[in-house]
Amino acid sequence: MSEVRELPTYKLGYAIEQENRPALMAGGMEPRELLARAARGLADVPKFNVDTHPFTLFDPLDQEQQGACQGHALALIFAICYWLCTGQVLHFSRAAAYYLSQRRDGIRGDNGSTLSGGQWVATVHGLCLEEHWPYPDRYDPTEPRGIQYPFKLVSAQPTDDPGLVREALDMGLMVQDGIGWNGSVSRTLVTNYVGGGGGHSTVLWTKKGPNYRRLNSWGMWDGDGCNENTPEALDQQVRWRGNTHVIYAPEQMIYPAPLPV
Amino acid sequence: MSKLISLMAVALLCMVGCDPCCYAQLKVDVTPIKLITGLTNPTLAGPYVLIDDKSTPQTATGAIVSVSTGAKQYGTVRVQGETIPTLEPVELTRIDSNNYLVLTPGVHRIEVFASDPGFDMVRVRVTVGAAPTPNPPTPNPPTPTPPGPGPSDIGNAYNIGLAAYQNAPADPGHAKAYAKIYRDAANFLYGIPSYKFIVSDNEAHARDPNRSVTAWLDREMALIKCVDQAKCAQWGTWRTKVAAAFVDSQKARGSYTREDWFQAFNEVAAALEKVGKQ
Repeated sequence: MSEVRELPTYKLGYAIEQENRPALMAGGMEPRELLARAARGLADVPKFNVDTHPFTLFDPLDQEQQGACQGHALALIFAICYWLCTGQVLHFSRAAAYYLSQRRDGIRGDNGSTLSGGQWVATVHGLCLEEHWPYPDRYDPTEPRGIQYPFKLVSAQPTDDPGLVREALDMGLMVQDGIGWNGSVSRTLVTNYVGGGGGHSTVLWTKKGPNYRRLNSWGMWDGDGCNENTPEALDQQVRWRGNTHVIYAPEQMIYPAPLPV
Repeated sequence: MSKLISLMAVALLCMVGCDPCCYAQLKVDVTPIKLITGLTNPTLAGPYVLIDDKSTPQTATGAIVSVSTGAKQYGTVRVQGETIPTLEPVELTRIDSNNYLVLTPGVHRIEVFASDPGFDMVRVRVTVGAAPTPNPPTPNPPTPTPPGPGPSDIGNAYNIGLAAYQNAPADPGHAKAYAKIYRDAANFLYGIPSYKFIVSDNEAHARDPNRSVTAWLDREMALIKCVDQAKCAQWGTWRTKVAAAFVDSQKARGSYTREDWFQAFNEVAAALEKVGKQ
């Protein structure tokens, strides 16, 4: 069965050993509060359908040869939130997301970054568009001059409550994960997770039937850039000590007003 | 400083629009004011304001943005604003550590961001001055209004429904077909049956009807055969006028959210569904 076949693993980049959980707690909103705000829907709109493929909106991202998974995940989260807010798609700077996270982390060289660094970029520093700070072919954290960073997001505090994570995903919110990556999770359908391995960060968003979709940053990995996780396997990943899951929502996203279309 | 605020408080309320989004302990209040400029050595004497003979008093409108953090002490509180829709930075005159004065006419978005420890944010919309004047009536009368529902029966919350109804030719068959297209277009924004965007910064994607609502709309409307050339031309004019109404609507609101696009598409659909109704 294709689901049993292990998929290739490419560059990682989640600095799992350097994750700063107290900073994540201080910089995020209580998850239940964020979910409550997101649930305050307006009348006369349909229930958001989460059982559909997300890559009709944009192509899968590809971190190529840099350990920039966390930056790619963060840039993708911004793109998703911007579409949820405005209905429009913009591509956000993966380079800014990665290198600014590293700056916050104090990590030098192509040695990855943390979710707490990413949260600081998202909530305090702000992010720019890909056109203003393009992703280089190889590691180069040189910041272009004169860039503005007008896009910001709200994040939740990290949670190891699988029910909360699934509730967020069922609502159409997204989760940035930082997990130990190994053969148990590098499959078309992940049915059982055992922790350990190098750190990798991806985005969980949408579903395929009952299963939760992971959006990776390895181009057309597994044919469409994604794999799926059964609810049980997702629960295992969330509970695994050392893994980190942060819910993001479009509520209170800051962005320059789009021009009329 | 308190005297300055007192002077400013002697005022009539001017129109203000606030669209706050806020949470936690950070609180932002907006107080519309009128103020009098050009005063030399103003002093209060009972109900009167005494000024030098050299004064050239003039009235102006403005708003005071007041920031309070409650019991929480933040290391950094930043207040900034921009004018909608040009996004030009708007000048904020700092009155004191908690109060800022906005004098520039127009609609502005003021953001207050507090951090260290944690973070908090409030965004409010402030309007200074008169409301934007409505668009002047178009010089040419619209194509004949179809019989049936009057203008008061047409949903027009986005100022698009009436334009869609009044400019539609008397062609209920096509109107019904186009209405369905607009309703389906709206549903894509909620993933029914798939996700599409309004526009994308990826030019190739923006032309792909499998990804773009606007490209999909164009394709679907082109697929509906129109054999009456006169009516076809009228529908072409209709599309131009409805497109212009969409742009004006976005400008009036500052910008559209995804929810706004959904509602606006459905407003067009509802208007078209009334075409030809008795």
